[in-house]
Amino acid sequence: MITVKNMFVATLIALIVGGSAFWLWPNDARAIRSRLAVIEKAGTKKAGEHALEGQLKARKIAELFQDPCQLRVETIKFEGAYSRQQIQDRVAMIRASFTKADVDLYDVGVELSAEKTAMVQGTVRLLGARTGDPMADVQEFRAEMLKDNGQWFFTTVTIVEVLDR
Amino acid sequence: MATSFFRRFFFPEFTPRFAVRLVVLIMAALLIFTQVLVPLRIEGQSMEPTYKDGSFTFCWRGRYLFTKPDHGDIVAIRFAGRRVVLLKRIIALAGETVEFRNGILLVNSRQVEEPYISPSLPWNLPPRKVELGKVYVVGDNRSVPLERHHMGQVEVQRIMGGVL
Repeated sequence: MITVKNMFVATLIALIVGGSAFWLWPNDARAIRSRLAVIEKAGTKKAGEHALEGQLKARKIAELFQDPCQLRVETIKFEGAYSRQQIQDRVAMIRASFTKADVDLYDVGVELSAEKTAMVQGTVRLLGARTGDPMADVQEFRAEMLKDNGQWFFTTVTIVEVLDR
Repeated sequence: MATSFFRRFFFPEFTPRFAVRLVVLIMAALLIFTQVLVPLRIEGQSMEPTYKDGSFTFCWRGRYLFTKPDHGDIVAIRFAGRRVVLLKRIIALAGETVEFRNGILLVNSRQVEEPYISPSLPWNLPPRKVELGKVYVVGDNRSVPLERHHMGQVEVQRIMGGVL
């Protein structure tokens, strides 16, 4: 029987289902966010991690980058093109210097353009320990990504200078 | 009577009026604690001894609605978004020259008294002029080497508000 109450419940269910479908439907922005989640997962290091596991995680991170990828660090006025292998080696070296590390990304914004490219902006926070000493670092990043064979890759990554010494 | 009051206070009857009050309360709390008085959990030691690692404070976003940032103000500086901020103290304004000599802060070549810092390392930073539209910020913890301390000039637009 159609009553006001039934109509209200049906509308509510339709809104929830529609909203969930919209929210969960695969799209490029979600694909990019899932690629960024790899950085958080593979960048994080638990105490006592095996060296082989560290290498595998470094490789996972390196696979997110186009070969070569342009890297810029504004604070030290550095800019250079790095191959995927070089990125993997550098990531492995940095991870090895930590006894434990926790990588988190915040406030990630994704802006898609028509030519299968995207601009990504966000904040990366690293909490870790080096030989027992705790360390914390926060940086803003800006990146350009390119869709190649259905996968998104970083083509340019810039560490933004927030505080200019 | 007291039992009745407490029962009504903690287990109120779910009436339409109560629902409206609850919604208004939730909306007001959301508005206040996301836009006006943003809670901050402090991680790191860069502002010790003023703010200790693990403590809580609030960012008062209305702090610079009618005034401009000034020397000695503690401000919250945003990054790409507002979920991660840096707490720093303003030590110099646009157009001023800032310098550290053996741990002593000099602004426009004049020594600045800093009662808020504890014994510090002899930082040395050559003089530099703060650019237009920026302020120079530094943490209160000067016991870490200068190279490892987040400090420098930052755009005023990145200041999210003052810190209580």
